[in-house]
Amino acid sequence: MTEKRAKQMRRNLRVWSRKGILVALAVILSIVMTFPLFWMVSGSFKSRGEIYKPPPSLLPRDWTTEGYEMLMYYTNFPAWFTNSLLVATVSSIFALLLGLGAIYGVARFKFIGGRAFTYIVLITYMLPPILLVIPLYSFWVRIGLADSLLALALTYVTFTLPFALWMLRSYIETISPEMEEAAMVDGATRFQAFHKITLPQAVPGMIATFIFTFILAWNEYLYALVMISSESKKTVALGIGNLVGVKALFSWGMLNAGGVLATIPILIFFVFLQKRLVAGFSVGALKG
Amino acid sequence: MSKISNRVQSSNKGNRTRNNGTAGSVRSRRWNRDRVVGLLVFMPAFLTVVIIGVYPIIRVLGYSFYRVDIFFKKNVFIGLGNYIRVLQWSDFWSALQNDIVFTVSSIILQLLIGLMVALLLHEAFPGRDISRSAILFSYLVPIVVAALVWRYMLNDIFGIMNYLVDISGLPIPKTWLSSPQTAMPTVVMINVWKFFPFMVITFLAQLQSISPTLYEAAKIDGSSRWQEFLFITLPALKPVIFIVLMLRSIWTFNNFDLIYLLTKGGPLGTTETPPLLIFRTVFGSYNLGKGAALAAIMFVLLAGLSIVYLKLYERAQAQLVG
Repeated sequence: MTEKRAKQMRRNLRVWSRKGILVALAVILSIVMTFPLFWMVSGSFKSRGEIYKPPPSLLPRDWTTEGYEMLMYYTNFPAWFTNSLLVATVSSIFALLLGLGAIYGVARFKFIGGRAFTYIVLITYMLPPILLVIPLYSFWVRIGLADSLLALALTYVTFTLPFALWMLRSYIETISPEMEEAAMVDGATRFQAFHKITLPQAVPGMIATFIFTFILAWNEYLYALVMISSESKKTVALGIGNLVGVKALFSWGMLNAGGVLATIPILIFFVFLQKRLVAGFSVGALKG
Repeated sequence: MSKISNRVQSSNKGNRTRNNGTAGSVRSRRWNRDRVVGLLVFMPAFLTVVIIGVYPIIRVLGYSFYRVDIFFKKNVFIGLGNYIRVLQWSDFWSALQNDIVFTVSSIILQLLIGLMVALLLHEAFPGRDISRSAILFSYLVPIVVAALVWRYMLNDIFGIMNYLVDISGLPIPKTWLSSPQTAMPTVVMINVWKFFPFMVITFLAQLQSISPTLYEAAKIDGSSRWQEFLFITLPALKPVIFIVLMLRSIWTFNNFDLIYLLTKGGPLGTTETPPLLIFRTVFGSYNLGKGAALAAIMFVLLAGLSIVYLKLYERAQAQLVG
């Protein structure tokens, strides 16, 4: 009896110590991965003097919003922010509509070359942006759309469309065409069948796709760097990137404040779609 | 567009004359009209891809055979002149070498760390979901922000990394991004931090699809954990590993923003890779032709790399089946 209990206890101990090790490893991992971002948030509330004074303190000794005030005073940050929202939204909606049409066409009507087309789209996703940016830039210059947010949003379709197409594909292909056909036998038009049957089922996938393409466009830097020259048309990524380049002129409190504000939209979406993240990544493979 | 609408009319007409209002004719007429609708919804994406994907490649190839003068707008055909100049350019070879070092070391580290972390986060323990979210963070944050925060932490005067090196007493050089010896390892470290979660996510998805009965059977046969990993987990992950390696090495090779924002290719060109060199050639020296030739060479290298990967992938698949 006692021997049995001792054995049971030993086994419990082994299970628990294993769990303990796993938790410890996970805690260390989580800290290493999130510390830089914590450090940025903390730094954004530190005064100029405190940032330069060793030893560094984990949390600000005197909380100040000096960095945020300077950001609003010295830069066009609000304009950058709206520009980014605009460009990311337009390019994502564009990609969503085009992608939905294309993948619906390929999945339902199976015309020749449809599948091949989806692979060509995937290849354009692999092309180096530095290769695409040269001809696209001279193209926009030639038609008089240099330094324009519209041109930038359309340029972003080079990566939002391939992503949207491949992510939507996995959603659309799981919706069976039979229900649509049944509705059409009952007298519905193709559009009604699509609108009433397929579209509602595709909405969750469309929302997830929109969020992913939005994040891609929000984070983009190279195209903005090449195409946008006037201060008022900068995106958040471009504006912050330039500040990092001339950091000597500004305080790190202000740079950190910019970094925090640039991350907030991503953070909101992140909370929004945590559950879907695994599915989204494995399906579409986000670009980096 | 007019061609399509012609086809709509002719197909409708054809149906009307051939059939006389039987049920079959309604269906086939609808089917034909359907195909046109399908083509119509498909075309916008197709045209967009042609404009933004295919046209640029042709343009770049075109530029690469000309001496393009941006100021005088006079283009002179010089055949392979740009290519010869690029191949004789020492900056090109050192950039290529830098990129190979950058890509290979980043990918190997990401793969190893990604595999270990995926196995860890596949286990059941309290707080697992929180750590799964925590590691995704670096991946979703804008590259600009990642560069900013690392430059903040690596600052030589007040950076917390140097402070940590000091108090830990580890023999780590405190020069980070500012010396030619340490710049590349530092950029690789930041790149690994930023992008290995991509591997974790894909591996986790695949791990979840392995049937638990395989492990139960192995346990009954008395296999060790290491054997389970070697004979069940790893073979199941193999196809995904190939795809992820291909995607990540192409994107790492193409990377522009992270390196540009961290070092601008310096110090002394030790972190300059072909994308940065192309940027400098085209938008710094305004040598469009030479930059285009560089881009074309890079494109060929990438295509070669993809073919090698696909061949290896096919061989791995064949082994799996056979």
